[in-house]
Amino acid sequence: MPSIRVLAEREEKGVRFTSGHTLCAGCAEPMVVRTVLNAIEDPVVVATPTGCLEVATSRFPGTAWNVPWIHVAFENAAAVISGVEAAYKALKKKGLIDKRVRFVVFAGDGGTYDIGFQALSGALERGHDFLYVCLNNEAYMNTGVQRSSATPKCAAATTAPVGEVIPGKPQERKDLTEIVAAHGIPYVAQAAVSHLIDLANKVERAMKYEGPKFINVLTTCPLGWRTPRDSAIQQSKLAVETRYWPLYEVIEGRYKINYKPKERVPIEEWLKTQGRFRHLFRDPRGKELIAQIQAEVDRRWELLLKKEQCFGVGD
Amino acid sequence: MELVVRLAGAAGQGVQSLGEVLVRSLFRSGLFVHGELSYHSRIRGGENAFTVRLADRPLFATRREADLLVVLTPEMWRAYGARLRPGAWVVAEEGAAPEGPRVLRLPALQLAREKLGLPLAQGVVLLGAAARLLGLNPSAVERALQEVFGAKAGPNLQAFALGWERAPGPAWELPPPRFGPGERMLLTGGQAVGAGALAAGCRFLAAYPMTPGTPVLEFLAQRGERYGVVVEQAEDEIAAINMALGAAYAGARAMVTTSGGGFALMVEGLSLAGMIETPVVIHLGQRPGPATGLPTRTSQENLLFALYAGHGEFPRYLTAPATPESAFYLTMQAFELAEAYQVPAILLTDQFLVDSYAVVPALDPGRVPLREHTLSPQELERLERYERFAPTPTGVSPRALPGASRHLVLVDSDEHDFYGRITEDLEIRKAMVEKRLRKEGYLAQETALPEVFPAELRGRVALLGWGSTYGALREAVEALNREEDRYAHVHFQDLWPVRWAEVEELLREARAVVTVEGNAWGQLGKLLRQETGIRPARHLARYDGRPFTPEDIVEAMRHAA
Repeated sequence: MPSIRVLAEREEKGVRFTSGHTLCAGCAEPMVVRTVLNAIEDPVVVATPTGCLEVATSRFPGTAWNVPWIHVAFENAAAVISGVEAAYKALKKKGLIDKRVRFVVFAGDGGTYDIGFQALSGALERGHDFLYVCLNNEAYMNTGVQRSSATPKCAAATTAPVGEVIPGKPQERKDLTEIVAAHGIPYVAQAAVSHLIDLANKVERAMKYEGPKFINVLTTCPLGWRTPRDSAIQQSKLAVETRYWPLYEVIEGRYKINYKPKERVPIEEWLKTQGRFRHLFRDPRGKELIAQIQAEVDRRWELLLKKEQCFGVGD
Repeated sequence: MELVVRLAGAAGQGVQSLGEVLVRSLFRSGLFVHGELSYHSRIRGGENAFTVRLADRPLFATRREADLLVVLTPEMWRAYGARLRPGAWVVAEEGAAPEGPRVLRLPALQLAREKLGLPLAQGVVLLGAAARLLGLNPSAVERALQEVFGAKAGPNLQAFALGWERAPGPAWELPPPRFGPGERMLLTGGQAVGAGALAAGCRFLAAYPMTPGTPVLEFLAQRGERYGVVVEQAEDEIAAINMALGAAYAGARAMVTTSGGGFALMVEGLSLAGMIETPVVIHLGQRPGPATGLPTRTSQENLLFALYAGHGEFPRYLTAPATPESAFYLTMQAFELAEAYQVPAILLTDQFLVDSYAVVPALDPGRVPLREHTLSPQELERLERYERFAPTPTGVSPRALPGASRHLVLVDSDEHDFYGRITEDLEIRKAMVEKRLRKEGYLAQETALPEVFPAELRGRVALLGWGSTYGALREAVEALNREEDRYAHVHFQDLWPVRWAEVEELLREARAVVTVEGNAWGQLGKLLRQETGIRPARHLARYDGRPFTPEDIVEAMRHAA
């Protein structure tokens, strides 16, 4: 498994994602991208649909990408990487290329959960050999914080505004990790920016499998979550500790929870640190809504435990 | 009397809010203003400029050069420092601009940080100084600060005072108020489209975020509850337009809002609307393409795309508002005509119109009468037999809503008979095509001919435009005519259907036709030539993502002469 030292050495050897981009102070995305790219030894080709990462890393006169990189329309990253991978396989078959090349998508939750979902599902089903990393910051941040199907219930977004009647987004977030797992692909995982070594391990493990790999990474956003710029790691850690965002893997259909918090930290602890949930602590219905959110977190966690029990990796 | 104030800073420095405060302050002082937002597509850094024009008459265009420049960063000085008119003043963050006459440099960041503990109030300090130079009444600005910053107004009011104290007295004298409270409104094109939708009885909006279509989505999302509009954010634009068609089939006045890329995804649904003769209003806010293009900039590249999008032949209503005022009324009209003719209606705006503020006469929703275009349950009860696509002289079949009566309402994307059942009968197919296309001739009678200024076109060089170039064109023609009275401004509002024979007759009077459009091809020129045989002598193109200014047009015409 890659240690910090190994990751640092690879970065020294040839940096794949450079500094100098214009992502916001306190944005978690660059940490995730660097960690993922450094955890892969082979040469990589990256595809990125429209989003924060794309606009902030590729602006004249620079680019943060030191690997071949293609920006595509919002809904197409999985389709385009399918084409790249298929072309590579064809070249390989004809003997025109012999080195091993890896294919990676970095896409936001809008480009993954919503508009890019059809392309993603198609690519997973066709079985292309690629890694898809969702930088999930739970809303459309690049266009000014519109809700996505990854936005949690009750979070405020410009298209799910908080009013006297409606307390932010009325719907639950989509459980995309499980939906992807249901495609029966070899490797699926959830990770978080607060647990970078865990993320690196997951990438390394994923790359051992031929076929589609998917990692859903909770990637905090100070702008959209309305949190202090120095709190990305704390935010992410709390999401894991409250069991809101379990770290787990589904390897060839077998479940493994990578970290089980010893104590049950109430979801309130996480909600109260974020401006997007502030109304819950002012609204008279807030207590009840927080209880509902807690119940959903508990339900998903219990379900996950049961899945691990029934379909565990087995030590 | 005209003054141009430009506020420029990096994204994240609150330039848009400063612009809003200034525009509101001037509007409250009874002056005509125009506010243009220009910004980079990025969350942080990059250029953000807000250009405010004020005058004693309505304004719908922006300017290249400023009389007062407020700069927050050295980069913005480099970008805009040379674009100043003679006698201009500069208010700058210390170090952002070099010293000079009429340059007021203030340690605004330091003041905001040390005296207020709020570095973000830096811009408001500079605005305070600028407001005093402008000769604004401080209470008008304070009121605007309260409106824009709400609960956070406190420190911003202090910041404003810090800047005000450090400025010399007024450098200009503002004109007296030109209108009283309640007579006029300050609004952006995006707000006008949203308000027009509410006034037209829109009950359903589905959209996917895409600049510059998003402001309309946000406007209606914030007001949906209050006005009984269901607002759905779809997972993509394909879903958005099909949701809207579903809602319209069920009887709701329905709308989508998007930009070129999203509209591209909607095209199959647009064709479906044509086939099932179901009304839908599409707000298409243009930005430069192809593909992602320049996401936060303006363009007029989608005229031909909007006109010809969709496979197969079917009528549509295509209209391009020129100002926020016309955006309001044309949005209402788009709903009304979509319902009356059972066709898709496309509102073609652009980033410049959607994001720019202008002062317009108080809006009067009564100007566009709303009618009910579906059969009532009583009317349906009296019918022996109901056919959704019954042939009629106008081509418009009486429209029943599903579930409203004992009659079955069938619609089908396949070619269908009068009843709505799939058919390959060649006679019926012919009859259905003719019925659908027949609607266009009647719809054409309801569309407006282009506006001509001055009214007599004979012997003049006609500058032809459409959409948001209206203000720039009008001012340019006025300026050119002051030098030599031989120009005219011809502006298209409705772009399809157009009564081309009348347009041809009109334009044949002109000595020459010059198209002025925010695209490279001269798309209106191509359309004009195709439909009338009139070939524009010249095309003044702008495709750098920025709006036309009057001086762009004047200089280009002088150059040609």
